[in-house]
Amino acid sequence: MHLIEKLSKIWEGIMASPELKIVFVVSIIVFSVLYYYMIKFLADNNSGPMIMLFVFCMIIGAAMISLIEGLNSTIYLIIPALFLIAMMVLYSVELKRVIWEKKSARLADVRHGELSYDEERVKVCIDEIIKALQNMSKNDVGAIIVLSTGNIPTQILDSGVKLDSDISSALIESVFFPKTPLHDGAMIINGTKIVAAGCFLPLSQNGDNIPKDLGTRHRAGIGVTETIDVMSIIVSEETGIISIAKAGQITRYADIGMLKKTLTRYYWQELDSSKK
Amino acid sequence: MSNNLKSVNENNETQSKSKKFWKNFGLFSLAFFLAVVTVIVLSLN
Repeated sequence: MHLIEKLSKIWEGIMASPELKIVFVVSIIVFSVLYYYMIKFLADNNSGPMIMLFVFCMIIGAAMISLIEGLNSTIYLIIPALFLIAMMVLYSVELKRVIWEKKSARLADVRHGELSYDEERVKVCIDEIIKALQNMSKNDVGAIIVLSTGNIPTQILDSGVKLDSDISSALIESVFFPKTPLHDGAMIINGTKIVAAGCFLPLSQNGDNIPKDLGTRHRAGIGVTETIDVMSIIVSEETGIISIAKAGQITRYADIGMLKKTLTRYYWQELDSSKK
Repeated sequence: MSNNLKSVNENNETQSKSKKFWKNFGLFSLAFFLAVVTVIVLSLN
């Protein structure tokens, strides 16, 4: 009853004063927005248990403060503050990804021309990329090709050499031919253009989930997909195996069918949605 | 072939937009509930 009396006093006070009403409403809006973005971030990163723990702690904290006399209620804010700090520590890679995605959606100083959805041109691009991958796989030539939607940060592009050229298997194979100046980095493709080559990518932070036989090239191919919403195709120098990485996960032994499906999805879904 | 691909994509997009809307609605409802609890607790003592 004591708690109910307190609540009804608070309600009467709010109703009696217009200023308090405004403060009440604004506070609810501010906290709602803050909690919404926290919970959405956790939900987007498949952290259901963290969300449940947060809600549980908030409810238990509210119950304790309302039942224990003499406790300063501002202590309650420690709970969301601690969760915010925990999120920043545990999800630093994912937070980096969100910040980079919002920061730059276009390439700096590179005119990549209009993204063409002409079916014939896209088909040629897909065929040329697959032909290059097959030849490089056959000859055990190592390669990383990143399929971007114009969202590669300028730091990565600036680490390589800007090409801004049409896609051809001859050019792709020439870039990755051993001992050429650009063979050691990654090639960035945006739509129907090769934007840059010889770019250095961030390595994967999740060392435990990557098979031990994969080297630095694969870790770079996986790492870039952890922080940026892109796909990467990796050809192993040792075995010629083609792998596809997306969102920090790698699929090995990609055949022509899988490559065609991946590239078709890239051109018709991901580029389409990024243009909107 | 591109028309078929596009219509499949549009269909998937409509379904996922509706799913996304309800997911966001649920998350915002939870956030709103927690915000109300927070404000009430802060007004107590």
